[in-house]
Amino acid sequence: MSAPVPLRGRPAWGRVLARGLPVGRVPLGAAGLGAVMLAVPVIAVPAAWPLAVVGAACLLAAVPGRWPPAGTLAALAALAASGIGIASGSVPLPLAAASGTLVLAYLLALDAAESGLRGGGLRWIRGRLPVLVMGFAAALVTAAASAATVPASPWLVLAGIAAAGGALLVAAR
Amino acid sequence: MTATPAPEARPGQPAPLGRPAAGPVPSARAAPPTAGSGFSWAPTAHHRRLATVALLPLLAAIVLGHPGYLVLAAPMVAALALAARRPRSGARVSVRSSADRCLEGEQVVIRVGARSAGPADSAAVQLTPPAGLEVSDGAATQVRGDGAIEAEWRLTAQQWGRWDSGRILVTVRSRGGLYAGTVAVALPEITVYPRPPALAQLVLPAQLRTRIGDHVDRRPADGIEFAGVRPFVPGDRLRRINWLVTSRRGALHVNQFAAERAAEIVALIDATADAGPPGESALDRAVRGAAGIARAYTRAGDRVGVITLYGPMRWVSPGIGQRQFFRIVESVLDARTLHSYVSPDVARIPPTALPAGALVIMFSPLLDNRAIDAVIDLRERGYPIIVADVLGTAPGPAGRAGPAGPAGPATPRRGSAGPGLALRLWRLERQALRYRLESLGIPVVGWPGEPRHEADTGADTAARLDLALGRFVRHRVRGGAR
Repeated sequence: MSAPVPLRGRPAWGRVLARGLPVGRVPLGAAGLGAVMLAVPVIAVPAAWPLAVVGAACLLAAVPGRWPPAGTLAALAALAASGIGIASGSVPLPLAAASGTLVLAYLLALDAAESGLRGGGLRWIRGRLPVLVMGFAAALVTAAASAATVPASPWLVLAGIAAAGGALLVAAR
Repeated sequence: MTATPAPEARPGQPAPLGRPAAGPVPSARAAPPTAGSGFSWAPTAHHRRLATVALLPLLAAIVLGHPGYLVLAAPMVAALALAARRPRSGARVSVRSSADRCLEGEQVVIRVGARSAGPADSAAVQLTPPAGLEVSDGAATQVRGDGAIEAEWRLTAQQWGRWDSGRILVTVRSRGGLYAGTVAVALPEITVYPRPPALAQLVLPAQLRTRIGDHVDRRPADGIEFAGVRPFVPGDRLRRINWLVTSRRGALHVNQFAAERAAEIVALIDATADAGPPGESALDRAVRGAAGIARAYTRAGDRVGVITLYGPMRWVSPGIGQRQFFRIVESVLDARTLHSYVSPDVARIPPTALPAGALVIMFSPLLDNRAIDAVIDLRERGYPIIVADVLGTAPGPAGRAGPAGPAGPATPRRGSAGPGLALRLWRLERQALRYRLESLGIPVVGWPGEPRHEADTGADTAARLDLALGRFVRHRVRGGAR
């Protein structure tokens, strides 16, 4: 029986750690994003901690890909916590926009983990970054629009409905 | 058993092992490339998840009348809107197999190339192998990051037959991952020939026909095997005079030589009944045994034919050469699908398919009376016959057929009625049947092993066919009327 051969040079600790963990790097990254997603609204609204606990449990269930719907539940928990903050006024709209963008980032990472992304992580991030930026921009625009005081007008409602219908038509084409 | 890859035929080179020398062997077959026509797109789980998560704040905003909730939904709605258009691009898929024919135990390499015609996030291919082949190398699903993918699988042929039920599922995710397109491509048909057991010794009929061959006959003729000495008669060649005997006897004597003739062998496959697990059933063994007979005798220059008995009969007339071996195995590949309630009439077999005096080696589980009557009929017509009992299974203790374990079927307790008694009765019936056949001049050998006593462990069945038929090598099998 041969003796184990000692490794030369410094061991790659990242690789050693990744090998020792039962899950891959991408699911781990998704779980980290999910933790941040749950933490942000709870910092602003400490009373929403039960939702954060439920969300964290769902996060743990979703990380190794054992129960995929758990990821959706974790995102919904984060949104509910932010919603409580919006209703109580403790979460300002820019923070709500950031929270919504974090939820989007978590969902994108969860998708990457579920689809078995192994290599080409940088390319994947480059592909998803425009989506995140657009999502954040849309959230900011919505926040600005909802903060603005616009006098009630039936024409404005009609224009909004027409815009939504037009967007649907363009998207479905 | 070590699996070996089925060699590819190259132009200008002799056909590899187990291939007919005549006629080219197609080395690879490609399924036609599939364009976007068969490509169906559907929303992915990611799409549904985004929509679900966006719906909650939207509903809250409408129900509670608070526009602030729209801020939470906006990122998801934007992500959905960015990639909302359903892609219409197709994919080009090419499937190649290293061989479309192989023997059992050999490997076939399947190569799949898939490329999305439009922008794609990732592509995955999933192989569903046909029933008779098994993936031995390579994961069933292979994924690559970009839209193009090259995948390779090694399939090991497990069971003879024509297999065309395999398919490859190509899945392409659109840019953004909101839609997944799938297309299924059928694998090209792969023909798996039965692996013939090797036969070192050949059983011969007592009477050899008049065709020139490699076996020594009793009749004197112009062979090279010394057969005896006889007195000279006018017309004999002078070079054949045996001067030693002539000087001793005082009269001219000449050497006699034995004729060298070819044998005519007909393998009879009983497909009327089958029992046993897939791949090791009685019919599987029967076909392998017939293939072994065909290969061994065609290599010795003899004429070999085959008759498949499944009620009606199908046959391949005896012929010579490696081409005949492939004609025989091709003709029996669909034996699993043959079913009929018709009683066979051996009188319908033409003499070209079953020549007079041909040695008949029947592979049968001896489960169907129609096959037993047919073999008795053949014996009464004067054919020399050997029956190889290929039933390697016995009914289990509960009365159902199952593979006999290492210790054989469960031994019933003495005096116990029930399944054990039924098993004993069944064994007695089998013994009586064998005794009846042997009393009619039809020797019965068990291959592999004797189902009554030995367990079939499935190991080295080829050598056991040699052993089973070995007792007929020294004394040729006699036919004729009894």
